[in-house]
Amino acid sequence: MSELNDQIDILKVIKESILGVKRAFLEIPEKDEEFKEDVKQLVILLDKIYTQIFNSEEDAIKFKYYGKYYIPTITKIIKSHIKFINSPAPTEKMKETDESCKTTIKKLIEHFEKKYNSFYENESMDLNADIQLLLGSIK
Amino acid sequence: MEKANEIRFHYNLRDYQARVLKELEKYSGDNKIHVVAAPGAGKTILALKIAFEYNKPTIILVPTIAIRQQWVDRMLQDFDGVSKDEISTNIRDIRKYTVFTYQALYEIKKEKFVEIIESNHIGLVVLDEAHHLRNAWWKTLTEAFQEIKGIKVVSLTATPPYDDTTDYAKYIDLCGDIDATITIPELVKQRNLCPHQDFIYFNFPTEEQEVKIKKYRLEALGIVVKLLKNDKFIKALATHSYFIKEKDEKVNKRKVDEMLKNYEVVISMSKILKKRGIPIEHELVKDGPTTVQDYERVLEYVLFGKDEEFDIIEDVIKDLKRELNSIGAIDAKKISLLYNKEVESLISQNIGKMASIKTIVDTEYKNMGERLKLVCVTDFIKDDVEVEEGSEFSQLGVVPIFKRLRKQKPELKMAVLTGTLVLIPTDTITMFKYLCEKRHIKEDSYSISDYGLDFEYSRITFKNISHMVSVITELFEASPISMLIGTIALIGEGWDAPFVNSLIIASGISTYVTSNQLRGRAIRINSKEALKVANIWHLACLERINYNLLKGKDYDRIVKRFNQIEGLAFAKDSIETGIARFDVGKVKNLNYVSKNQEAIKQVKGKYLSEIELNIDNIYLINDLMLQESGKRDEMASRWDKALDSYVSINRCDLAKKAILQRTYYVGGIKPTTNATALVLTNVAVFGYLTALGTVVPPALAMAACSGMILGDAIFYRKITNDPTYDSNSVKKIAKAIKYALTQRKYIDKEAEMIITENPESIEIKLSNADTRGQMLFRKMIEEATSRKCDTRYLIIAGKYVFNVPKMFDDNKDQAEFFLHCYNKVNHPLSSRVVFSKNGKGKYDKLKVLLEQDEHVERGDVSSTSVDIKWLTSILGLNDTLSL
Repeated sequence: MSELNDQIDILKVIKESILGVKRAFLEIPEKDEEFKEDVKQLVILLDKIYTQIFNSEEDAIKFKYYGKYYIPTITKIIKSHIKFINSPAPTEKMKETDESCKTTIKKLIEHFEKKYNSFYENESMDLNADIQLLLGSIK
Repeated sequence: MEKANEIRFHYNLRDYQARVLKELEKYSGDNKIHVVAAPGAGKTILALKIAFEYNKPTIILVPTIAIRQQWVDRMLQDFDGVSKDEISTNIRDIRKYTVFTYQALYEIKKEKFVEIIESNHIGLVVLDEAHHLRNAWWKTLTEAFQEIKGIKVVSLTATPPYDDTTDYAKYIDLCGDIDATITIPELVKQRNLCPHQDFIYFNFPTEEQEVKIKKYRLEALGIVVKLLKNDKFIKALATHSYFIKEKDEKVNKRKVDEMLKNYEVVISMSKILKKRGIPIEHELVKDGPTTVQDYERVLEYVLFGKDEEFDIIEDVIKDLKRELNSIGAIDAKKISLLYNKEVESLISQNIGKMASIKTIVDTEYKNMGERLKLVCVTDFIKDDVEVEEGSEFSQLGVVPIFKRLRKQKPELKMAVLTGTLVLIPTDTITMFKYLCEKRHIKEDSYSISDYGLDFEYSRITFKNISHMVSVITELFEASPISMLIGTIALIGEGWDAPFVNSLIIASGISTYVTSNQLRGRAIRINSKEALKVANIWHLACLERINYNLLKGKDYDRIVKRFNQIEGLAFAKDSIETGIARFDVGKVKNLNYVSKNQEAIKQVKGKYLSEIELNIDNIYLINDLMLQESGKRDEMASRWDKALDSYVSINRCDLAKKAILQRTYYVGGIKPTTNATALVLTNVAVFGYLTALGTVVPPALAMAACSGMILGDAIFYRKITNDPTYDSNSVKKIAKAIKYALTQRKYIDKEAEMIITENPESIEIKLSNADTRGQMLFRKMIEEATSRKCDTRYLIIAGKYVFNVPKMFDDNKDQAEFFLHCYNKVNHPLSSRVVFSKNGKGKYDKLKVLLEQDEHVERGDVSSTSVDIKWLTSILGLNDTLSL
């Protein structure tokens, strides 16, 4: 029972953090097309990851800290960006930070794609080995 | 107005007709006059008097052509001064008084109707038998009246759809609030209806049927057990965003809105999670035993609620749908784990009812002899049911009842009257032919044939169905036929047979409209029999679990049927509403009924609802019903005695269950209450009391917590049987409402509140008030104590929480005025008005909803609020359910 409770605790933390990203995403103005599209991509990835960890206790444990620390930072980044673009007189420093926000989101997409693929890495490796073996045997 | 004075009614108005006419001015403030009057009350005359007084071109809408003619006849026969030329029954020929059917209105559509009203300067529209106004007819009229300004509408009915919340709201929207009610007891008092008594006769399914019922329930609960063990399902529930407290407080507040929309599902989800050992740390979650209803709600929500959060368990949902469908548990997106269609039919159409009919017929025939005119109505004909020699019928219907009685009671003369099958005793053919001739019905309009090999009965086939009912009815009255078996579809409504003195309702219907229409067949006065008294029999199938009998869904149906019916109590000479009328254990000399001392002990002094039914005491109760049915001679005088102290129906009947829920939520438990009862005030209530700033005595707090440890095994039974409940909350709010209505001059200062309590309900009557005031009083108590909690303001007074009645709910000043009234008569230590639409108020409101969950009745298997743990244990699933 406690295992299930532990899993639920982890899932709740991760889901809460993803919900935060989703809510921040909704606040991005439509005119901010490129950034919005990037965050949308990120949200889709996070949903996919959540589905994976929902079904795999092992993956949930691996992803635990993401929910606690990393994903909430994404929300913070999105909110900062929204604040910058809404600022009537942005300073150079602000512009610089905002640029960094945008780049970070792009990098995060890459990272989460890798992360998502990593869930299937072992499975892919096993399958590749099986294929190699099969091909070898029918040569 | 001059013309009106020239129209004279031939007879004297009845007292209540005069009363309504006198109070008319008060009613018509909204231009809508809505009169509810029992069949036979003289609604037509009343409406015509209103029309003639008003003296403007009038349209009268009726449901059938026959009723259309009745209106014309009344105008011409009962009044002087109405010219034939002023009356039309043609929608295309509008005159001063035009009567046409709702169907005709529907055909011309709304636009044309509006045009007719405007171009003919129609000032009054009468809606007769207004309970028919649902869906299409309702829509046409509602839309039309929105466009037409200043027109008066008079609505008449005997049976408003009280028990159908959706239809009732629509109905009231069109007809306006009920202004006057002319009740059955009032009519009995004036001998416009005959004295009568209702009886319930119990039976139970056959062993074969019981096996089928149990099999279904085991399969359904097996799915629940599997579901509880399904980690994916549990994870999906536990991680639903309802149970995730987010960092952003604004988001959490918005979530309260969502939870409000689905509060019942939220309660059930949290209870299921607790059952699985998943702690839910949320202030708004509910504690308590899981019920069948919890699983049904959650399953319906997960399967059909279109909540994207459950997309993640798509595969689980697919399997669940397949499994539930395979056992027939899903019907039109509704899930029933106790009753699928087959189980429901096995119970409501239980063949055990045929044996009950035979016993009732025997008793009534013994008591009445050839004076007996008994009608048995059922839902189906079942003409195709055949049975082998020596076997029993497997279905309930007109033909099985007829054939069984033919076999077991051959001396009884019967007739069958349905749309497709008419049977009469062969030796009444001559009389039948004479009656046809008298009505100018030619011989080629009907045919007479044998009915199989039963030569004592003949089958009549009519070419024109309209003659059929009237001829057979007259034959029933004039010949030695003692019993007529028919279908609800044909004789359930509008069938006029005032000579009928006994009625058996062998039907699964429970709606107020149909059941009251049915009763109306038997309680009419008979001009040929001044001392007519009628018996009305209701059949209920109980569910057997070993020695005990459980009040199942069929019993619930009977309870629902009685909710709105007023009648004579069994033991005391008083008019009561609801199942509490059956104070069977208080009838004197139970020893004459049975020699079974144990059964007498179980029943003695109790109301039917209080008795834990079993094989022994049910025979005693049935025998008692049969015995009492023979006391027709006493019935008229008992009615007279009861009517001496009768206050009309406009009273507030509140199920005690609702009061318990209210006090349950508010923690209305005295510190002296024993620990078991204190379980009521579980941690959630304790938390809430603290949140409200209520000082909770440490002993109470400790007891509340200890209640949690005691578990749910004992206390729910205690609640059900505990006669020392606290109904103060309802009394307090009633006092406040009465005071507020007096202040606003809706009722006189002389109005007096009469409170009666019995185990089923608390009755609050308002005497010395007019109908309008009584209706308002009743409506406001219902609003204040409603579980729906849809008002803008709440009152938190000490430990009690009420909705502010809608009359005072428009703005804060009004709500404060109501609070002032509450304080004036109740002197609470603290009280305040809370706006329930935002912030703290919204939160408080959700707390109310969550805490008002239904309590569990262990002894009632039919109710889906039954504790699933108990249910599974009696079904032998105990071990598999424990996790």
